[in-house]
Amino acid sequence: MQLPKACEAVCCKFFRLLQPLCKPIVGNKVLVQHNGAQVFKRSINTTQVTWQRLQKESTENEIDDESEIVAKDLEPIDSSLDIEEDASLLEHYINKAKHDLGSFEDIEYMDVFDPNKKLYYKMVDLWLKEAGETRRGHREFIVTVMHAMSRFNVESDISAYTKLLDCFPQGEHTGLKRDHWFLAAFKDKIADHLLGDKLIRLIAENGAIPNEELHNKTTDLFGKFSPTTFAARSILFWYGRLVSFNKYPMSVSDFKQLSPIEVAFYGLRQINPGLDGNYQCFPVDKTKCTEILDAGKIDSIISVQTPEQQTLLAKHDPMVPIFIEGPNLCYFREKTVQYYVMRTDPRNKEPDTASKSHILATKDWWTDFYKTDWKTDKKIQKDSGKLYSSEWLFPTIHLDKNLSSKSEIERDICQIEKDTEAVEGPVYAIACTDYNSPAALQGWIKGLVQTNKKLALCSVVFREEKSFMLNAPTTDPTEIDIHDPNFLEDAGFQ
Amino acid sequence: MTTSISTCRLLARRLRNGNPRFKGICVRKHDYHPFTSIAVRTIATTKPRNESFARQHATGKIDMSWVFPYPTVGSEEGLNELNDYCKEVKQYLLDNVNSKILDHTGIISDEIMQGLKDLGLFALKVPKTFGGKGLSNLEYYRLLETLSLDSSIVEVIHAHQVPGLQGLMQFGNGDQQHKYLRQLASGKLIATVALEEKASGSDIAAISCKAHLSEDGKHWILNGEKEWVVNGGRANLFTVFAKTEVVDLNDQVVEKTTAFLVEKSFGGVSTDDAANTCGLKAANICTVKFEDTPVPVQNVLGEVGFGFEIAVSFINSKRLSMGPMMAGQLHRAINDVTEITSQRERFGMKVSDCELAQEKIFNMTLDTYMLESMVYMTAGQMDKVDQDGNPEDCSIEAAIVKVFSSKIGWSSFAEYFQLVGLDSCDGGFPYQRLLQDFQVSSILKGSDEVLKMYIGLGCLQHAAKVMEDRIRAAKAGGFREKWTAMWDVSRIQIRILQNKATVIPHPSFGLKGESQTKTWLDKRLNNMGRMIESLTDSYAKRVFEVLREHGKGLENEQVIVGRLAEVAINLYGLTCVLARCNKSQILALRNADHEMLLAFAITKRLYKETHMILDLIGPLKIHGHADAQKKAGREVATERRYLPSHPLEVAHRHEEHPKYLEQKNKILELTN
Repeated sequence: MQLPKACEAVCCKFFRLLQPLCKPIVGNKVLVQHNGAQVFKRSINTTQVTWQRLQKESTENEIDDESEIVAKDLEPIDSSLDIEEDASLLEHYINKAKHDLGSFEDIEYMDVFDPNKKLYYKMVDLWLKEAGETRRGHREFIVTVMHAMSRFNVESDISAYTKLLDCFPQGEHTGLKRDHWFLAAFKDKIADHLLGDKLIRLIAENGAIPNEELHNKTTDLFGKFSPTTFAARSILFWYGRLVSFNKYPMSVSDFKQLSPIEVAFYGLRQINPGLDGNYQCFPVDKTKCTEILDAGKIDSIISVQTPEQQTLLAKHDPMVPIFIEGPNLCYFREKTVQYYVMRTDPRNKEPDTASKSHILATKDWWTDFYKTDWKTDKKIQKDSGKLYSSEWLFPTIHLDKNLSSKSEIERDICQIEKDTEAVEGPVYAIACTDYNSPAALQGWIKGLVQTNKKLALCSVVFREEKSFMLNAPTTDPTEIDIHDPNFLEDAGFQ
Repeated sequence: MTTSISTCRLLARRLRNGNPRFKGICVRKHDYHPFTSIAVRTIATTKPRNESFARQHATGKIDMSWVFPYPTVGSEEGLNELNDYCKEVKQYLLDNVNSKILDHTGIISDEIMQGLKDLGLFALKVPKTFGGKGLSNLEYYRLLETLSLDSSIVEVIHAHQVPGLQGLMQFGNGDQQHKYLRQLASGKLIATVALEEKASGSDIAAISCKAHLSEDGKHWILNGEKEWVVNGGRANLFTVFAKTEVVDLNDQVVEKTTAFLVEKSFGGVSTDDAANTCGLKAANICTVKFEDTPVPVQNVLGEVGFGFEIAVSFINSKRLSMGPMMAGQLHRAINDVTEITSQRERFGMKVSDCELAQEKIFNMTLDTYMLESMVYMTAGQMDKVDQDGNPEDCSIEAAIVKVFSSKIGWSSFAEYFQLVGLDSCDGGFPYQRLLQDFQVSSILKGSDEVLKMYIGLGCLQHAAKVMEDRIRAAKAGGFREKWTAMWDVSRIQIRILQNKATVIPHPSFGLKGESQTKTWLDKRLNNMGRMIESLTDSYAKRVFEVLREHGKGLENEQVIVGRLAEVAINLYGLTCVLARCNKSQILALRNADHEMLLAFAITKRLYKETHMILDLIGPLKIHGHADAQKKAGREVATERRYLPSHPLEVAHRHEEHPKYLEQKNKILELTN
């Protein structure tokens, strides 16, 4: 899909807002387009080390500008460690903690079974011991630990975050407390407050469950009127409510372990809800489909169809074509699912009156005059105006539709535009796959025909409609330099 | 002429609004509105159909022709004959039928069947010209009450009678009557109805059994499977309902139901073994299959494509049969339980002397009394015939009896078992059997909720017809128009504003206004009559309010319609009780004073209950929980599970909360 220039600029702004969503597209595996290494530099906030390593690789592979090349899997690196000192600081405490792990004091963390998590608590304890009452260098330590949360697998543990709050200087005379609204106006020690705020944002992002202890500690540390306490209070207020809206809660660590097919399943459940949905997995005929997928992609077709959709398809008029539209994207937290929709055009509401033919001109007159059917000479029932009664058990109330206090008086409105027409027809099924070719999707239709016989009679049209998100740049939008005149081309816009 | 039509209309409207400036000018009605007078005249000449009691009740009218006199058997000789016959039947059942053995074997033995035939129980409703007993509805249901000693036998006999009279006498032609009725009366042929299917429960129109004409046009070929056929193994003559293709107007081919009389000897009829039901074990309930069964064209009951009405009439008689059966069983239960409790001593006194035990017995008695009076009132009305020879339409009252009997069935049996104590849990017979039989037969006779909708909508249909003018007036345009329109309607409808000389008095118990019927009611019952009248008034008011608010959309407001149906049931029951009690007071029957006590208690109790129900559907939403009920019910239905979290589940530990601790400390200080 081609976008006009102005529209692209808007899109860029849009991406800036969707920063956490765009990350998964980038990930560790990166599509390098056109300018290869240059884009790659912008794509990830890498350290100098990785940058050098990349340069080496790119020179080895000898990139052509026109072709698309997929970079190899990189080793997991903490991208946020900007300085080597930080890494070494962390390594120092980790090594110390590892050495100290079997000691008697471990009894405090008896209930923590994961060795990584245990290591984390031990490490923070060690730092607290070394830093003493003044907690010198606490901000640096907290920042480094915050970025390394995933390494210790404590992202969704609230006690890990409350432990970090202990690293702030404790006591009455820290100057951090904002107990009165008037004190909130002063900007001293603002760095600590902002850091606390960041910490609580991290809790929300990682989906840890906030508790009362968090609130108590923040009020003790920062006082009632600090931004940190506000943030803690607000997530405490909203968390339960937001969770109750979520029908299928899942922790961060569970989410990480999902296979691509499971992600597709959860995505489909969100797109096409219904407890009776029939989930099926159809294979793709590899002899016909020439497309080659990377490892870790969905190479079969996962389809969902509810019984209602099945009955709708059974009623489908075979003269009207069925469309398969896609690929579309569905974001499931940080992962994306690519799906196709099988649907048709909306039906015309009014039937063709022109095709009705009146065989007898005197038929109407007969029924009017004799009140009987002209052919069988049977009496017509007054209520239905038909020969046979409608077989409805319940008595009906004979009142006009307008005769209720709820109904409004209908007024004639001259219609200027045909804006009330239905644009979309009924959806018959939805499927997830990473293939893009119609040849692969034929497997879907073959599989669906087994349960939907009507589909064999219908003509199916593949209508490729890429969503604009698929045409989007693969770069991290925060890194784009807007003042660069060629930034759109660099970013991968066509 | 410069004065246009619009100015004429304006003139007329001003006149109608009662403007004093135009007082002197007299305009006749048909001058400005000629067609109404003609229409009114034609309506006046055609006599409106007599509506049934419950339908009239919704508009605030109490039909005195139903209430007085309470129906009885025509002559004293007839009554004596009936009583003797009932005694004979009862004696036979007590001597020969052992229900325990019947249940164990699951079959009514040939000897018993022969005995029942000899007693003439298969010829009850068949007219005397065809060798039957020719009983009226009233007598027939009295006999069913006697037969309810064994519920399986009642079901078998009732299933035989329904097509015997309802089908053949009402819808069959002469040839069919001559062919079958004598055989049915003698018991050579045993008949039953095959209506229900797997796909269709109470929804009769959804049957999938199908029939098509053979090529020579002499036979209908029948295909399909019927479930829950009572006495299906032994029956020779089935009344089967199947869908046939018919040509409607405009040459449209549609599927409509048709009733067929199918003999077992036609071929292609096969029955399975009896289903292992929890109750009615000897009733031989089984599935019947029809595979290419050829049915002669002469055996179509009624006309092709008009089977739905026949099915509905069958179902009506089925519904009413639930009443006398329950009444008979409850009679026996009360007699039984009083004997048991009088023999048992607890805490140094007889159980029957305890007031709480007596309360339970009293509740059972009340329900039974009310049910009896409803059953025989309805049965007596079914015997009535109007001027054209059509029987009166009692379908709504029959449904009322069914819903009420299944409602009190559960409550009365529960009290019965409580009083009997642990003995009722010991073994299946006879206590558990009562409950199981009741369960099967009540579900077999139609779902209560469907019937409630049927009752409610039936009453509202008539009410909408009567109140249409008032509703239209309330909906009229501006304030002034609305006011005048309502004034016009009220002048016609409200009694106070009418000229007394020209108007026939509004039928009532004669306590509020003028009435010719006031001498009917015993003086001691005046209070109860007044209570029923006031209830009727508020019921009609609520019906009008609901109709004005929802209009035709009321068909989809199931909660409101169901509640109105409950009110209709209560009011019908109350009126029946009053009529019966009045009869026994005037004639000074045995234990009339005891009846009086019962009637008084029922009226007092239902008066409160009914007002509470009426409050729930009222315009004040404070009283009701309708919205919450709708929303929560929908949520559970869509989620398909129990939604609330477990009581032991705790998301936040509130004990750590400082405010909570503060409060706790305060409380501790205060207490110390």
